[in-house]
Amino acid sequence: MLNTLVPLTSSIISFVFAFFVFKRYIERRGTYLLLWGIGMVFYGVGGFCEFYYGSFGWNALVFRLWYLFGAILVAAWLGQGTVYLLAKPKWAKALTIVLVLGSLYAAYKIFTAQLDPSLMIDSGHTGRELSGHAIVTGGVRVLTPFFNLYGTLTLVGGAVYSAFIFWRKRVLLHRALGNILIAVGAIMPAFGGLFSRLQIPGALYLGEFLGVILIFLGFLRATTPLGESVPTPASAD
Amino acid sequence: MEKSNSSRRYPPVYERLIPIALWAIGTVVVILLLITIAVALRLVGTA
Repeated sequence: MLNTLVPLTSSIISFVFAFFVFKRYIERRGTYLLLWGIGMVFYGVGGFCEFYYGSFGWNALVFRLWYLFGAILVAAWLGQGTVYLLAKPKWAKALTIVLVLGSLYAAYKIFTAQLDPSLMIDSGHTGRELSGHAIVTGGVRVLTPFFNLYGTLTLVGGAVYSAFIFWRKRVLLHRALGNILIAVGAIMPAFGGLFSRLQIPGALYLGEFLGVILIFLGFLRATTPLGESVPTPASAD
Repeated sequence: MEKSNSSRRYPPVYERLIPIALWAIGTVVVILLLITIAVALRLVGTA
């Protein structure tokens, strides 16, 4: 169940979430929504590949898709949406060009890499979950921390920064809460990866599952004003 | 953080919880980033 139902559910939630985000993009525009939608599709692809491996076993193409979209690109592309939301447009565009070029390079490296699934049963991994250890060719796995560093800094950092600004001004409580949920959700897969390294079975998939739920709830919270009005004991500005 | 707008307040429970949550998330992120940097340096060393 941990290796099949959990990632499948994560994948379905991700695609539903992506649908909501794309729908909002069509209604309101905003490049950040487009990038978040793309990021959620990547999340869904990663989850589906994990489900496929858990259900049907090794497949080189599925592994390459999982590593590219699920392990390398998802956080960075979600974070890029936040960059578009918070940074100056010229910086956001420049960073997007760098991210697109980096993503193409990562795709080239992954799709030309040699794989050995037997290596996934190593370093405390049982082989029941997908792991980057299956990549034999050098210079591929080294890309992952850089993309994830950028993704964490931008996605979590952006959400925390937004929540702090709303809290400091005491405005838009729903957005402050939504951003906190998004930040916590974005940390979850990283936690999962960490616990997975500590040989806790299913930790990565569980982290991704909790992560997508919290990010989705955060998105819904941030885009839905609270019913009650914010108390204003003193006179308004 | 002390520069809050005193004319507006969130409900008390959020006034207490939001700063705690922000500090907690910030601390966890810094720790995770340090771990990620350590992993990146190790991978660069073995690449």
